[in-house]
Amino acid sequence: MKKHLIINLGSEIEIIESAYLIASMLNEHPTDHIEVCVQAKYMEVAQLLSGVKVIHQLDLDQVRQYYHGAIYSNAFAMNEFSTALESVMSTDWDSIINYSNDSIAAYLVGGLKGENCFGTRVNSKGVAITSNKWATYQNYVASGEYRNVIDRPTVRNHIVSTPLYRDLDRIRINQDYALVANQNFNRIRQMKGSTSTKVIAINLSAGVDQYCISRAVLEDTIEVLEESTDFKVVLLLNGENYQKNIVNELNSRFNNSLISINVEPIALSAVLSNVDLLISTSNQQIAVADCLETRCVEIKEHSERNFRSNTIGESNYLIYAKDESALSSDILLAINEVFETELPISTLSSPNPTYKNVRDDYGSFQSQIRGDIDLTKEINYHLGRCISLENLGYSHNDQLIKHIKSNVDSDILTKFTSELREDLTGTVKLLLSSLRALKGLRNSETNLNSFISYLDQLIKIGQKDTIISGIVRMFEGRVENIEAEDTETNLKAIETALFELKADLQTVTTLIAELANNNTKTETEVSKSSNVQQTIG
Amino acid sequence: MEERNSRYELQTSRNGLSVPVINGVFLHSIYNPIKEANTFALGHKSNLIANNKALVLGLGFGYHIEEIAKILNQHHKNYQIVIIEPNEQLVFDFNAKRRFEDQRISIISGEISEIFSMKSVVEFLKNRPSIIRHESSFALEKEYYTNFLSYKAPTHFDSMRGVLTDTTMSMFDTTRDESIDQQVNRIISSGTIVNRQDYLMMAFNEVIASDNQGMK
Repeated sequence: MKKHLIINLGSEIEIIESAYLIASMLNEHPTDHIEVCVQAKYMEVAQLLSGVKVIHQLDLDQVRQYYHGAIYSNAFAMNEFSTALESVMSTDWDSIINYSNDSIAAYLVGGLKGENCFGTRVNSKGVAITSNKWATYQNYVASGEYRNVIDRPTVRNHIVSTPLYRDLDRIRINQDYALVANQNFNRIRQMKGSTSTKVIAINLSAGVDQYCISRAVLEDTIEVLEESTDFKVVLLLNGENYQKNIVNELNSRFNNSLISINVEPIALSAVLSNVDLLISTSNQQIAVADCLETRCVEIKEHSERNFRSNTIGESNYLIYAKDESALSSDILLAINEVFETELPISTLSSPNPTYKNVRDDYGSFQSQIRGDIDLTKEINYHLGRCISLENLGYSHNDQLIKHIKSNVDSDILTKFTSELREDLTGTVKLLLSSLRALKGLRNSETNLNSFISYLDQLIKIGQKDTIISGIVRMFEGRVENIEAEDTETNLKAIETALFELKADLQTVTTLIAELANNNTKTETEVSKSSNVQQTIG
Repeated sequence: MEERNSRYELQTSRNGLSVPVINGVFLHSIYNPIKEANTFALGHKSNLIANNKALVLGLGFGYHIEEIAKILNQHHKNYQIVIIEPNEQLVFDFNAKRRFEDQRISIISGEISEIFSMKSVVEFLKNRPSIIRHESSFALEKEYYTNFLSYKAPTHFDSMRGVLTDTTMSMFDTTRDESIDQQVNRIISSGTIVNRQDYLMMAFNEVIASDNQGMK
């Protein structure tokens, strides 16, 4: 039996996501002992994690309050911190996992007694060191992406070298609540005269982005669902007053016919495991539903910088709300797709980008099925995923390339590859200059400045959010990971990292060649062509 | 303390209640202390309705405290009153003659730094209580109360020693007379994180430095 500590000082959603890793670890080694360390304010959520033996809680807010209050002795802050960690400190761990990939945990790992550390840690020189290429990817590449091309649970399972198993019990379900919930939901189904009625739960909690589903959207959606014999709506609340007001308003609109459930956190998993589909903003409830493999329709406010799904379950939907008037139709369309029903939809075209979670041999990804499409961004996402996975050791995704080539307008593809090639060429020039300068440095120290200058320019490319930038950030991570003491070993390691960068960029070169094959239009012809929107993925 | 009570006596008001007189200052009305206390408490009513915790500067002989407690009791299920009173003789006499039955009221006496070393006081202050000055007590002990209100906790380990627990002292290096900032700067400028204690101090520094951020 091995003892593992998972330090997860991140958000509630990250705590729930860790259920994928914990369940997979226990599936590999059922007798292993797992403890987690979370922020005290998320203790209730952490209690939902199945298979965890001990939950340690660290009250970061309390420590900060003591420290920043001028009248309080800093000793109180230190006492709070040390008391919370006393038991963690005295244990000999077989492995310590910096799950939330934060700076507190990265230092903390050094203060604990652990055989192995997974994720990011700070070494004795104060430099962030990652445990493997996936941890480097997480810390340097994924952290700079507005839209993660590889889902977080997949990356984190790889960091711990544990396959991401499916069909596991990840979330604790209180058996008493499960029994009651099961009976109640059977009654709810029978209200429409059939035990096969699908229960659609609508979560009224605000999302982590503060987005709330508007009353008009709720009314339109509920009206259609309630009129159908196939569905029954249940409103989920968590006790907040604003939610009670919404329920009252909706009930007055629907003659008090709506069912609402005030869900205590301890009963959340029992309730969510009994519903057929959850419509929700982006929050911990939807993350729990996803872990329970309950179908989800996630709704977020549309933002260029908030392009992340909090579910990875197959056939879940994610809708970015740009236009409220079409949102109800988008939700109903998703429900129709999930249950193969024909609920009436008022608008066939919608500007709201709607994505479906799809699973292939490489994991989960999002495919846009509706709404305004930025084809370049979508191609970037899919090819970015393909390149990242290939550079991380997966096989080349021929199928995706073929699919893109046969479904995307050749003009758009030519424009895309031409821009990517331009980006690539600039980077390769700097890479080769860096390699030459490094060679020169070996002959004379006078070449030091030119080497550093090229290296700086190269690393600056990583500051953008493009395919090439991601590859350069991976290089930056490899360079940061160099722990050599002497100059020669250091230079050798940088040279190796530069050659690894060259190999990673070669993946892009190959891909461009594949995409360009049979794509013979010139760039001038492309610029004259109209943009034709296509669905890819 | 002797100087504090160089002229200390308990007189009886017209309606038969004890009134402390210190250095010639009557801490309550010599005619009707309860009526005066009631008016005093009503003057703070809005604060007492808004906040169920009150920090009262000055015990007097407790009449005003009882009136404050009545208002809090009317408006809150739970409440708490902490009284700061530097005059230990006064506290002793009060407890001997009257004493609060209400467990939600406590009197704290002593050196200011000692008071701020008490976890119970710190926990209470973290809840941002209403601060109510008993003017005659405040005037008598103006320097003490002014120092109390402007107190800043010392930041060096040597002066924290009474508050640091054994667990904390075993986890952190508190042997040098330096502040947290100084220790962190020393670790950073040395360029090497030497041991577990250094790592914990750096982790602690990350906690207090900002909201938890991703690594890099």
